[in-house]
Amino acid sequence: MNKAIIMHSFLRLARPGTLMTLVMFVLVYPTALIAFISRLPSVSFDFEAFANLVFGPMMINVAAFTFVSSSIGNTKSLDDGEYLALLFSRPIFRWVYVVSKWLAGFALVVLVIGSQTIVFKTLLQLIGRGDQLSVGFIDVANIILNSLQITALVAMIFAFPSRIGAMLFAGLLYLSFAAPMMFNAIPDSALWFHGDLHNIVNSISGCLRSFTYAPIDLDPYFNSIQILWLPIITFASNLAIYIWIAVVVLNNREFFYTN
Amino acid sequence: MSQQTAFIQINNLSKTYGLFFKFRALTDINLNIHKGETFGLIGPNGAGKTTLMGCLLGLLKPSAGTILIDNKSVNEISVKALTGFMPERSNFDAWMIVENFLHYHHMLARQPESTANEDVTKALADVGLEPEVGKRLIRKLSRGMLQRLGLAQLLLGKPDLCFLDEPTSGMDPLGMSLVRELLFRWKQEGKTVVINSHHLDQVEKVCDRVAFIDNGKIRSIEELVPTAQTKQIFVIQWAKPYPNEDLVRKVAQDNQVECQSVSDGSARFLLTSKTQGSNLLRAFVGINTQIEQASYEHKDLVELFRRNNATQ
Repeated sequence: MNKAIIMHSFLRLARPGTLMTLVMFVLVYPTALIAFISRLPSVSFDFEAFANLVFGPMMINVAAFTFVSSSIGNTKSLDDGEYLALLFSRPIFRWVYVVSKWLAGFALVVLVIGSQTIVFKTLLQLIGRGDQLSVGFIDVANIILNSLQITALVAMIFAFPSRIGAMLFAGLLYLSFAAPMMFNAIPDSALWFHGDLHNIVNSISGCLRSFTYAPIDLDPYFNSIQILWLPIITFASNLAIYIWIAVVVLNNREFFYTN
Repeated sequence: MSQQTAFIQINNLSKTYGLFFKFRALTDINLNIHKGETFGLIGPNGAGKTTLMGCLLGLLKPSAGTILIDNKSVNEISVKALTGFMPERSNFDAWMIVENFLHYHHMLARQPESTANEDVTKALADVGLEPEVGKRLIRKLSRGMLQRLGLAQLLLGKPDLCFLDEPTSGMDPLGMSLVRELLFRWKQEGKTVVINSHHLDQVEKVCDRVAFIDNGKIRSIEELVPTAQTKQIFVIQWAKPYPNEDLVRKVAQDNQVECQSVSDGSARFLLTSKTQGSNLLRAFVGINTQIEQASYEHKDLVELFRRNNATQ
């Protein structure tokens, strides 16, 4: 890990544009959501679903893509990107850069989601509904693990040159979610090839989905006797594969220093 | 020079861009740069100078051939630790405050934290930036100031090997003379410098040797500063009465110097060592000839540049 790179990643938050997004994220979004909730009768409100809007995996994904994506391997925008040619003329191993960016990104996401959750909880308390949203140890652990995974995914995508990274990301989303959903909507009788085609496509898309989006939930591990190994293996292997790909890509990237 | 060990060794270096439509940016480059040498890369736009520098910095991967710096690969961390780089386009993190940016590069250059403040202040002073500039946002700096900042970040790593790409581009005359002074100082300190510049007069003043690059090939390498092994033209001009040609040729022969021509009170001699020049002067003074002027024949880079372009 490189202290300078980690500090620089945090300093990037102080840019006016990012700072404004941060305020929207941590302050404006919770306030708007709480203002909406305060108008609903408490009996009609599903707090389980609400928790997902606050610190669930989807929110972690949004935070990671918003605050970390431009920080890794981006050389396009002068204001937003970093001058990687100058950075890599310094005595820095590229794998150290990837790991430092990943861990800095992870800390940023945890910080953002954590602050947002605290603001939510405080505002809920103010309207007298604080007891309806509890944030326990398992929730905190889930935030940490899912942030670790999503920032590694972001590091992998953005280690590629920006266009290739965007195509890769869009391709993964399309093949994992959109294409199989569309395919499943086609009845068996309408397919030229009969048999287990739906199952085959679903298995492939399931594999891709577990690589693209596989949030972990520790709740079952604390509330059941049986340990589910598959999510743990998927989580660990995803982390390793994301970081490995990011390091290989960045090691092989060329930086034309007039970028 | 050739007997010295090369600090930078470039062997059969080629660089091709593109997967399908290949473009050859460098072809079979062979070059040795010695420790303590100030070496210039010159040539027209698109000649391949920037690509060559990119390969030397390990930012671009050669398609063929090898580059060794201090007998190590350019990608070794120990090589990068002794390298400083000043890019042509100062696309630094525009949102950062100058001092923070320099502190960041001080850390990246693996310099001790205890000397950070002192080194940053010194680097700013060395490039002629006022201390209050350190408190400004990078986006607020002028082009010339950005160039100076580029030099300052290079200085922070206390490099032994400096790569400078168009260091004086966008600088005012004061800035240009500052770069020249820095380059002279580095020469005295024994730093090896590779400089890529279109300002031929600047290159001429500071470089020991230059390579003319065009179409990705080295067309010629010229020595600008005479060394122990370099043959130099030495010109002597006399005041009237001029010594006669036979006498001039005899003195030259006695001092084992080749006399190339004698005409109108001046003569051109081909020297193989610096001491030959002083011996020759002493001999002419000894026979009571009145020397008006004596100098090495100046190599005009603009002329060399034209000549190299014309021969293609």
